[in-house]
Amino acid sequence: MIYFDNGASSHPKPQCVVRAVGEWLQKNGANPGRSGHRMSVDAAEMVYHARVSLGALFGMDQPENVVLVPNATYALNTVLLGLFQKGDHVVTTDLEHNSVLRPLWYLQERGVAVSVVRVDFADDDKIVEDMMRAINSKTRAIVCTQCSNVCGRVLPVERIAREKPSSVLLIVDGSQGAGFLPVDVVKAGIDYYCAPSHKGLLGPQGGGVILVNNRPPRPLVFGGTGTESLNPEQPEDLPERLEAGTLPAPICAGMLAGAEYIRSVGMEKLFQHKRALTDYAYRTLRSVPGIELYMAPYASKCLGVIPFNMRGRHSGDVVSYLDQKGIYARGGVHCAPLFHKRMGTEQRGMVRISFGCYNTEREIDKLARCLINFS
Amino acid sequence: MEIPVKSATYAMKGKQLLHQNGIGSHVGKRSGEAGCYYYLNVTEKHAAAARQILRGGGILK
Repeated sequence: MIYFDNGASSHPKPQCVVRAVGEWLQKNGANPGRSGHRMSVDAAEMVYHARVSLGALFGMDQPENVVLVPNATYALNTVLLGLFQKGDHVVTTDLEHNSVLRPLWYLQERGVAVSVVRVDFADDDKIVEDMMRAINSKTRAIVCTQCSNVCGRVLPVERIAREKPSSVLLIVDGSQGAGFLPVDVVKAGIDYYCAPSHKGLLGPQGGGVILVNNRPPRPLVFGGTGTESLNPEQPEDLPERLEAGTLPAPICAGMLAGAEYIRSVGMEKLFQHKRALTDYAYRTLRSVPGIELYMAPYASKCLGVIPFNMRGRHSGDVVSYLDQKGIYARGGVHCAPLFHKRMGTEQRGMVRISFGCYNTEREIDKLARCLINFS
Repeated sequence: MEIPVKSATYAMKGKQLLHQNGIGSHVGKRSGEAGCYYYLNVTEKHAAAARQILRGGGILK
């Protein structure tokens, strides 16, 4: 089996993550941050260490600003729906996932203006210029991905943070960057950074994180926090303000193990591995007859994700064929409608291969051979 | 001596901060005027110093 669907969820997980989740389920079923007995306090302490370790990956040394949520979509919804109101203006890009676009369209129907910048695949300067040009006096924020989930284009989020006016917030969707694209959220001046546990952060599904580097957004969900129970309102302080309800301690244990694994290997090494695989794949796949490698001219600007089609074939046919050969890739439109409309592939979709830390060049060779047979 | 803190997260942060400053503490929970709260339990001898450290770290309620 060859797993090339790490953009959807990474597999396999490091053994330490698998072990951490299982061991936590076995040894501690208590609710973290709810009771005062030792098992519950131990659970709260483990969750605290998860915040510290996850924050450390991104230069965030205030663990209370590491908010734990069920996934990146939830994280992005919390930030977007909690910050904007009628009359505000938001700038985004045509590479965004529906986890950004759908909340923005929802807000647009309620009087928030949204401008979509067409990302220049070749030129970072042009991307930054176009974003700055889209800003007006009512602009509250730029919302953009760190790395496209369909084409792998990495956006210059640190430059965007540097060059935007200080009155404009920067919200980054780190779903495809977290864990291997190093970024210091605090030093860079990114106001809100959202990421899932289960992709590059190598944790289990069911977790996500918001790194809050500015004032907290309004809560999206209201309920118990284990503190200030007689107060009819959510507590003011993070992280509890944005964490109503029981936290998934076993998931947090897995997230902690994933973050520790990344810290032990080094994010730079994981980045270099993905860089090398991306370059190798572009070099290898271009020899496949009939392949349409959409981002080949911009390969150096893309990381970890390669979209392609086989001439005259639907993406679904290709992924079904690969599935039969034991190669797992993803077809369709990958929840990124604006990108596919731009490329004219909204009906046919694209085949996406996305690499993880355990993929190898040999696996890419096997993919190339399968595609040659297919063509 | 029980020192109330903002939340479970701040209790853990406070515990770590005190530990770094050579003061041992335990985390506990009770209910009070505003409902449930977490506290750090330190010895009487260390209470004043602990409060000062926790105030400096933004941990206290």
